[in-house]
Parts: sequence; structure tokens; C-alpha cells
Amino acid sequence: MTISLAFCLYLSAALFCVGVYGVLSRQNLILVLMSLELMLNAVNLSLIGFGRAFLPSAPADPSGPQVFVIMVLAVAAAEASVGLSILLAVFRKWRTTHSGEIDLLKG
Amino acid sequence: MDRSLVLLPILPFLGFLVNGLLGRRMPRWGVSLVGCLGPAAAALLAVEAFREVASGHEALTQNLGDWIRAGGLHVPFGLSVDRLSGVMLLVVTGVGTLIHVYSIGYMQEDPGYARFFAYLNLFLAAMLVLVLADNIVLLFLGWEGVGLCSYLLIGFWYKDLANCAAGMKAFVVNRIGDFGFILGVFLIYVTVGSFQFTSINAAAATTPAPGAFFWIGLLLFVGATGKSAQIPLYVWLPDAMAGPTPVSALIHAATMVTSGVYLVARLGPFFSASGVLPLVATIGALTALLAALIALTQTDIKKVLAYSTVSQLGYMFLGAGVGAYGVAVFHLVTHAFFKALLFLGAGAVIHSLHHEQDMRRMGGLFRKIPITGSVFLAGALALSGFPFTSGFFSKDAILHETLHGGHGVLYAIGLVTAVLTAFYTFRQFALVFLGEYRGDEPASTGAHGAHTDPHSAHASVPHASHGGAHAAAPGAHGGHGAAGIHESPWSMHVPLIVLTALALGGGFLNVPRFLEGSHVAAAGAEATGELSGLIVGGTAAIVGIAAALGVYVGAPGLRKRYVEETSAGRFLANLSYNKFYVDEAYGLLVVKPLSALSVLLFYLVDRALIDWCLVGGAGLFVRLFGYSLRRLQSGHIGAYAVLFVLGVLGFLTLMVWSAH
Repeated sequence: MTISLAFCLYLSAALFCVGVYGVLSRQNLILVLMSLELMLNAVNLSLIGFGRAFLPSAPADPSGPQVFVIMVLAVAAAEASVGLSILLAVFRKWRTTHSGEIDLLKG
Repeated sequence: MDRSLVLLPILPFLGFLVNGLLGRRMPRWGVSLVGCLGPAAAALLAVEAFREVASGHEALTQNLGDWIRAGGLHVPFGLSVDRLSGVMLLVVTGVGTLIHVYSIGYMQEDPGYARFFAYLNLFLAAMLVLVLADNIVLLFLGWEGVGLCSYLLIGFWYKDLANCAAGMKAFVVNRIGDFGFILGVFLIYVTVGSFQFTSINAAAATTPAPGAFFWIGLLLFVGATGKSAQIPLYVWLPDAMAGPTPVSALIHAATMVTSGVYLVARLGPFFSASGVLPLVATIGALTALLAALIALTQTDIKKVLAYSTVSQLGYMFLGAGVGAYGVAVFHLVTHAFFKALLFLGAGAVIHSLHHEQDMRRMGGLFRKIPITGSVFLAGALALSGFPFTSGFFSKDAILHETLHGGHGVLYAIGLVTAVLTAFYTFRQFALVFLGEYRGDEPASTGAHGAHTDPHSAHASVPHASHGGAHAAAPGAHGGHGAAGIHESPWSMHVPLIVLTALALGGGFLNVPRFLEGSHVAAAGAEATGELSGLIVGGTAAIVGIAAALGVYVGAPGLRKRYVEETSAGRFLANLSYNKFYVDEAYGLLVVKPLSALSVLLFYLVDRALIDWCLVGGAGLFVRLFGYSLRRLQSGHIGAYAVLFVLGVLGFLTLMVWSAH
């Protein structure tokens, strides 16, 4: 059984929506960060799907969509480390990771 | 062709820079040396330049390149000396140097010593630019420069607000005149197309005088009335006596105030062609008479001299107005000598009395300070026009020219003024130097005692400000007793004695004939020494002197009977003492409406329109806008994320929508 492009994209869109929902609805910043990862990986999934559909030689060609995915993973890793360290600093200062209680930039 | 003319203003200017910048850290003798060296060197250069123009008729010129060049407008920084400016140069640098030397003694104890010399040097530099300028724009530079120095020096003792007000008054009144002056300069450029004096005078000679010439002459004359204190702008000069006395002598008697006369003489052919001369002569004669009438009853020793200066300037304009520019300049020169002498003499009196200026508290000083008394007497004789003193020749030359030109009424006014001049001058001499010393009496009895008070006892008369020298002058020792009266130091006596010689002998310089060589050549200037005129003038002086001595020394009861005990006499004396209420009238007619209008404009335009509507309105608008937008800035990351997602969705929708 082959997995069609449409399936890939639907799954990717569903994952992305779950991520967006998580970012918007969760107040705990750790969960927000996790939802962000989910969104990134949803995008990765759609990239793989596109690669498979339009570049048949994809697994053998390193210049294909996998490079993008690796790139996104690297950026995601960097983002996660920065995000978590900010989170740590925030927690040290406010003793909470609850986003609703941090409103220093209120106008 | 000549080279060193520019040094003339530069030398005093260097003195200004050194004393102005470093003076506070220099010892007094250093300040005096620097302050007097510049003027003295300039005087030597002036003598050299003068000898050169005196030997030939060629004018010396020096062009230092362009000062202003913009489009068709072209003003060179050009200096020139002809016979007229040569005479002015000698007067300005000569009298200026003497007064600088005098100031060493007079200002000795003043904390602002270096500042004083710096201002005085700056004044001299500006005055020399005014005299040397070969075009009217450069002259205007000097004109404004001397005005600035006059303002600075009137308010020299700035701790007393009255002095600052006097300086401000001088400045503002001069601005009115300068407004006319600068309009005249614009009109010259439009009409003649050049600012050079030679071109302006040449234009007057060739063209059949266009109507604009009248307006140019009128506007320039308005400027001259401001600077030279003529009706209607003379009111600042008496108040200018708030400055130190050397300033009154140099700026407000000998040099600056005569620059209006110099301007008219400089543009003599032009003024003759413009048709404003009858007005000039009339204003001059009326000013001479009015100021002499006011001088009759003033009690401040410097105020009398100030009004006398206004009056003598009126004579000069009378002379210029009948076309006798050379004679007017002759009177300018002799007046510079004897009026500087009188002011410096008055300064010596004030110095001796520890800054007392009220003549009602003087008297009998001749025995105590005989040198000062003698030189003052010489100045008084010259001012009165006593035969064979300098004022005698120059004043009678003016009167002669007036009669000669067919102005009978003006001649009569001039003659009456001559008698009045002699009268008030010797009234002053008698009050200060003759009789008994009155300074020991308490002020209240001095003001009311019938035998000492030269005025009817009007307790209600507001006393004129006495120059305010008391407040700031450090030399005031408090003790005003007769015992404390002392003669002045040598640095004050030497200039006085030199000026005495000039005031007595200056009339034998035949200035009008000398000026004939330049364009100032006046019709009939050679008739200066006509005999009958001299006899009439001399008689007028002697009558005035005799009357004054008779009333104030011989028979004091006379004045009491006719002035103090008749209502008409009291009325006239009061009118004169209060300067014909001109200041009050100006206050009512000009100052009050103007300040009311200013207040109105302040509240209506400044406060309501600009402050509230424009400035406040703009601020309010931004604040309201910001206030409503500020709600978006909640600080909650979640809210931002929601907005972000909504925005992205909106854009995506838009893209999808437009793709179809």
C-alpha cells in the first residue's frame, strides 16, 4: 500500500492544527514550546510528502527535501534550547511558567 | 590705493578682544594700557590719513573685497577717507582717546573695569567703521554697532533695573529710527542700484530727481532722528545718562549721536536734491528750542547737559537743513570738544561729590575744586557761544547760514534758543559752582527751602531718576559732607585740560572752508565770519549769561517773585520740569496701546491659538489615539499569539481569495 500525497498533507495539516491549538490554548509555557515542536514537525512531514511525490529519486538524492528537514530539525533544536533557557530564567524570576502571569510589557 | 585704513577699526577691536576675553585676569594697569593703546594708535593713524587728504583733494580708499555678494546684490567692504570723514576721524579718535584716559581715573574703583574698557573699545571700532564706510550698508553695520555699544554702556551698572530700562528705551527708540533707515537703504537699491555714496550722490546730480528720492531722504532722516535724538525720537537720550559719565561724554555727546548729522552731510548732494531739507531744518530748529526749554529747569547735572546735547544737535540739523553741511559739521566738531569737556567736568564734579548728581545739593564748589571749576567754566562759555570761544563761531555760522538762506522764522527760533542756551548753561554753572554748598542739608529741606531750591516747591513733582549711579558705584563712601570733597586724579585732569584748549580755541579751525574741497562745499560757507551775525550771536550769549547770573547769583528774589509766586510762572516751570509731558504722552499714545495690543495678542494668538489649539491640540490628539491603541498591548503572550494567528489566517484567506 502506497501512501498518497494527499494523506501526507492531511496528516500534516491535522498535526499543525493540533500544534496551533496547543500554542493558543495552553498557558503553561512548556506545553506551548512542545506545541511549537509539533507544528515544526508537521511542516517536516509535508516536506517529506512533497519530496516523495515530485522527486522519485528522493531517498538517494541528498540535495532533496531531506536537507530541508534536517535544516528545520537543527533550527528546532536551537529554538528549543533558547526557548527552554528563557523559560528557566523566567521561572527563576517569577517562580512560575504560567504565561498569563507574566505581563511586564503591558502598555 | 591706500593700505592701512582697515587698521583704524581693527586696533580698538583688538583692545576689545583682549580686554573682553582676558581682562578679568589682568591687573588694572594692564587693562588701562590695552584699553588706551588701541584708540591712541588709531588716533595716530587718523592723523596720518588726515594729513594725506588735507594735502590733496583725493580720497584715500581701501577695498577689502566683497562683503556681501548675492545675485545682483553686491556690497564691497570698502573704506574711504575724504575730508569730511577725515575731520570725523580726528574727532572720534582724538576725543575718544582723551575719554579713555579720563576713564582710567573715573572708573578706578568699579568692579566692571575691564568690561567697561572692552565696551568702549568696541564702540570706537564700530564708530570708525561707520565713519570710514564707503557705502551705506557698511555704514549701517557701524551704525548698529554703535547702537549696541550704547545699549550695553547705558545699562553698564545693570544691577539697577532703572539703568537696564534706560538702555532698553534707547535701543527700542533707535530701532524705530533704524526701521526707517533700512527701508531707505532698500529704496536706494531699487532706485539707484548701488550702495556707494559716490554713486548715490552722483545719481542725485544727474537725474531730474525722481519722486522716490524724497522718500529715500525722508526715511534716512527718520533714521538720523533716531540716532541723533531729534523730534520725535529724542526721548531716549536724556535717559541714556544712566550710563557712566565717560560714556555720556563719548557716545551720547561727542560721537555716536552726531552720526545722524554725519549721514546727512555724507549724502549732502543727495539730500539737497531730494527736497527734504526744509523738513530737516524745521525739525532741527524745533528740537533745539524744545530741548533748551526743558533744560531750563532740570535738576540733575547730567540731564541738563543731555537736553543741551539734543538742542545742539538740533542746531546741526538746522545747519544741514539750510544746505550748509560744512557749517553743520563745524558745529559737530566744536560741540564734540565742549560737550565732552562739560560732561567730563560734570563727571569730575560727580566723582568729587561721591556720586551726587542733584544740583540742588551742590553749590559753592568753585573754591573747593578750582581746576574742575575752571575747565567747566570754559566749556560753559563755549556752549553759550561766548565771543571767541569755539561754540561762538560755529553756532553763529549756522545762524548766519539760516538767515542767508531766507529762513527768517527758523533764524528767530535759533536766536531765542541761543539766549536760552546761555541761560541754562550758566544757571547750571551757578547752581554747581557758585553760592553756598548745600550738600550738607538734609534732602527734605533742600527740596522745599525756598532760598536753595531752584524750583518752586512742588512736593508732588516726581523726581527724575538720578542716573542710578548711587546703587552700583562702589566709590560711594556714604559720607557726603563738604569735607569729603576732593579734586580728581591727574588722569582725569589731563583730558579736561586738553579739551579746554580745544573748546576755547577750536573755533579758529575753519572747518567749513576745509571741507569745501570735498563735496560738502556749501553755498556761502566762506561767509562764516560775517561781522553783524557775530555781534548778534555774541550779544545773545552775553544776554543769556548775564540773565542767568543775575537770577541765580545776583537777585534770587527775582525768580521767586515771578516764577514761584505767579500761577503762570509755576505752570511754565512745572511744564518744563516735566519735559512737556512728552514721555507721558508717548506712554499714553504709543506704549500703552502697544502693550495692550501685545497682551491681547498674547492671550488670543499665543495662548489660545498656538498654545492651546495647535500645540496642546496636537498633543491631545496623539494622547487620545494612543490611549485607545494601548489596550491592545496587554503583555499576555497568549493574546499576541491569537492575534498573530488571526493575522496569518487573514493574509492566507486574502491570498487564496485573490488567486481565484
